Amino acid sequence: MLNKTLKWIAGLALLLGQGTVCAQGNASNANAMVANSPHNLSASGPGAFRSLTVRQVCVFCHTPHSVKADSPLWNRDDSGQTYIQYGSSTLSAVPGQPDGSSRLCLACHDGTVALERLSRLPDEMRGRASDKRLEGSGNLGTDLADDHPISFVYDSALAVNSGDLAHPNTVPLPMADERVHCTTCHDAHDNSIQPFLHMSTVNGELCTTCHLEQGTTWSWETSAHATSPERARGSDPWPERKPQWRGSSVAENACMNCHASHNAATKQQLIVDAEEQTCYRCHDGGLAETDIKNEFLKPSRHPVDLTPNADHTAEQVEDPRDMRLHSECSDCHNSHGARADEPMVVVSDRTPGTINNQAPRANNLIAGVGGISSDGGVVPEIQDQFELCFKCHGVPGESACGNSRCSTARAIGHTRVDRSYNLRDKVDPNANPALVSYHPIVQNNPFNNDGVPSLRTELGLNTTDTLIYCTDCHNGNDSSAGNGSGAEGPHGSIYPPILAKRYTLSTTFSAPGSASTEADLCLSCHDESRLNNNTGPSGSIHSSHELAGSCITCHDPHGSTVGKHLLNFETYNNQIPAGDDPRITGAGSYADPTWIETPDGGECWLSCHNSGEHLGSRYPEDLGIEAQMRMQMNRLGRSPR
Amino acid sequence: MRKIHALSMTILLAACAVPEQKPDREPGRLPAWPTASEPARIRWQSHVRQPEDLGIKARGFGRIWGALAGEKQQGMVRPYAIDVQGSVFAVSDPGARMVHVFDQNKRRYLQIAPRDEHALRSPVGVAFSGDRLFVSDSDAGVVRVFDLAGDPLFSVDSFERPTGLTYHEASQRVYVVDTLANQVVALSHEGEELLRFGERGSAPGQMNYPTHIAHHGDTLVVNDTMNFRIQKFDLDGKFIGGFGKHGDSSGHFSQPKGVAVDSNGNIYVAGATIDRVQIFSPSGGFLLAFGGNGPGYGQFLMPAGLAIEDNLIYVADSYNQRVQVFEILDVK
Repeated sequence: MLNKTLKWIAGLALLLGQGTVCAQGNASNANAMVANSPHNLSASGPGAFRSLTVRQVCVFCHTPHSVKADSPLWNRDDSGQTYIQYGSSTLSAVPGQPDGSSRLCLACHDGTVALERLSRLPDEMRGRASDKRLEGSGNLGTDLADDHPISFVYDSALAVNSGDLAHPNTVPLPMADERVHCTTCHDAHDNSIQPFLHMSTVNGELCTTCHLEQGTTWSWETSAHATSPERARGSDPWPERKPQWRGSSVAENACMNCHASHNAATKQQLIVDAEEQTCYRCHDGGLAETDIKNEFLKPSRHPVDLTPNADHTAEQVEDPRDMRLHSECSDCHNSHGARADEPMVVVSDRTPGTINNQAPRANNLIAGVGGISSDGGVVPEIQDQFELCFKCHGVPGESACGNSRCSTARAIGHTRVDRSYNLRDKVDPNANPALVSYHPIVQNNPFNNDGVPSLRTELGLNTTDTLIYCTDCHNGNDSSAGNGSGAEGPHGSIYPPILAKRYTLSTTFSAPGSASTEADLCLSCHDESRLNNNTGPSGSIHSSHELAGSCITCHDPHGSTVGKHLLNFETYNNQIPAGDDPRITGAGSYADPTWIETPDGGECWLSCHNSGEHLGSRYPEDLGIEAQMRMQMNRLGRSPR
Repeated sequence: MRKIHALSMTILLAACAVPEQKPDREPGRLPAWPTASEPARIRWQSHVRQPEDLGIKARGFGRIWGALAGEKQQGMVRPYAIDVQGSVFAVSDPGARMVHVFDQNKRRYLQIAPRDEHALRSPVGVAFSGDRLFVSDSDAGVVRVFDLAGDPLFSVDSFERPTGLTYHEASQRVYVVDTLANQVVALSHEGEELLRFGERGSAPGQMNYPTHIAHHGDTLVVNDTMNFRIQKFDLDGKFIGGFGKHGDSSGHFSQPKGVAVDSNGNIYVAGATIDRVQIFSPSGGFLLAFGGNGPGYGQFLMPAGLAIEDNLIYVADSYNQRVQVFEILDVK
């Protein structure tokens, strides 16, 4: 009996002497905190106050030192030993493995004494989120990949290299041996900030201690996700967060709106749900008023649903010039910096009679995202909207029209005379000095871009310095570019390829003057009656001609290296002739369909589908001596000029 | 080269349940314990990280549902519990949320990874029962039962947190530890609850967060983890006895997890934070400890579940992402 008491005094003395938390400061206080928390594993359980001693509460984690180690009966040479359990981070020499005090946490949080899945999905969420796994993820071999990393050294070198980590000297959280452990975020003794946190996650207080999210054109503190007071409407956007852990608004939930420090479904950046599903939790017309989720159900859309995406790694090192093509919300939006702003649309019914002249400036909706600039270089933060689009659709050297980077990306294969399909080369004269005419997205050029009699100058548009956004045309059909009042942005549309208004890409014959049913999109800026009724060449062409299909047959919506007025005839050269030859070819001595511009008009040399041959047909029409002479000369095999 | 070797070994050792595997980095000699002048009792035999280690080629994968999910799982993420039946052993892997089944004789590998509402969220216990496989999912609070091809048969959901499992062949009962309820529940082969026993406390016979369970003859051996002791019960739950001391030294328990019993009745207990397996006599005398912290042969990083069959002990070496197999040597 006495022996036992002596043992206990010795044990207790050793325990307190080790400077454990139980002994720090007010020992009975620490005791009381643990005693009332789930970490009180004593058989009496939390809340039941008997005469609490160190034995009853602390020992479950703080293993008491055995006064006498047992000698193994099968090895008399061994007099017994004390096992080193944790404490030294150098104990485990295997990099990437949990070490130090984290091992103690993991000893219980292994799914038995305590659950290893430290967030818990309510029943109806099962199978929706966390059970989606990422294919091809090489990280599957390291288990803790879906949890915040631990057992790594967090020193000044790391802070400098990462760019968005605070210097460790400014981080008032415990890091034994300069390493991040479970104990860096969690205080196992004190559950006053649930769950056992040193600081709260409300308003991102804990996370922003280490993670500083800001850039040149954006910062977390002013972003929508950090400041929005919106609360849940309808379904709960934060089902994994226990009520005691979370705030009630977007701003209060802060980082935890999208991130999960444990059991993240998208491991690379610890996103709580499977990629875009995370965004849909709010951006489905519920908490966030605009239903973006619905946009991605439309037939023509950015393919964010093609998951999983293994390109977005934790290191964020994707180089747009050689990355695999992919599309996720985070490729266009920086969720740490984005905030609400005016739609990036120049011509719309929102401001009838005037235009929004902010083009091409990228506003807060897409601030803080990388792109490819006019000169083909990578920019870490875009200034202009087109730089974002060029990131995928204007990669230098990518011109094969079979991926979706080319200018008329449709399975029916729109080939054109200029054989140029890289969008940057189509709209950016800096990238492509050979451009003759182009929609003014990057620049306007009064010399080349004149000759647009249909332009609705009464809106304020001119051919000298007007600039438009990509999103004036490529936008959701409910957006302001489509004269709607719904979701803005090129997420998805009922009109391919993600167009705000109808623009028929079919090639069926239609009656002259019927552009209004085929090309609503063009008519946002171009007036149809002026097209048909002007006395210049375009009047006679458009009014007298039975045009095949819509504007698209002759005009390239982006730019042309072969003609003014965006003339760049479709050729369908990649279609195999069968029956009616679908191709549009040149005529006379011109291999390709060609328009020759003259001071008073021009002439057309082409043949549509092996018929309707134009041998220098003049516009305005003039079937006088000159034309007959021309046809004669052609038959003799001489070029007209 | 390796293929031929494995094949010839199979022919030579056709009578044995497990063909001997040579490690790919030959240590000086196979680790054995004790290391000094005393005769060896435990000797390292092999380790398994992925099916190839058993000579099972990638083409031979049988995959249930995993193929539909497009999941390529090479190797184990966090192997936790093991059970062995003949030449087949199953490893539950809560890190990968699946159960790996290795058939060493037929050279087949199967993943049991059901989807959607039947997904295994935290499979921490596994037990063969003849033609069935019982898997406890501690997070879902359910024990799921599969056939040996991996197809689901039924589930039992009358648990708070089911963890350790053991199958008593003579009575055809599966005993399930319910950690949160501090009870052990006996299920019939059909999943019908037959009895349950246990309550929270530290008195003899009571339990505090029990986890793993094994049996020897007609005695159940329960790892009463947070009472830092092993307790024995008969098949109807009557307390027989127990042993265990709480401490950080050899022969003591700190975070005891896996438990298994060999043919002599000696009890093996895995210690998660001491990176060793300790062996005790049936009455609790400390016999030996083997292992040690590290990634090498015969070293562990937070070992968890144990299983013994045919004088081989399988250790789920959790954070080394492998199973290690040791021989239990007879010493006269």
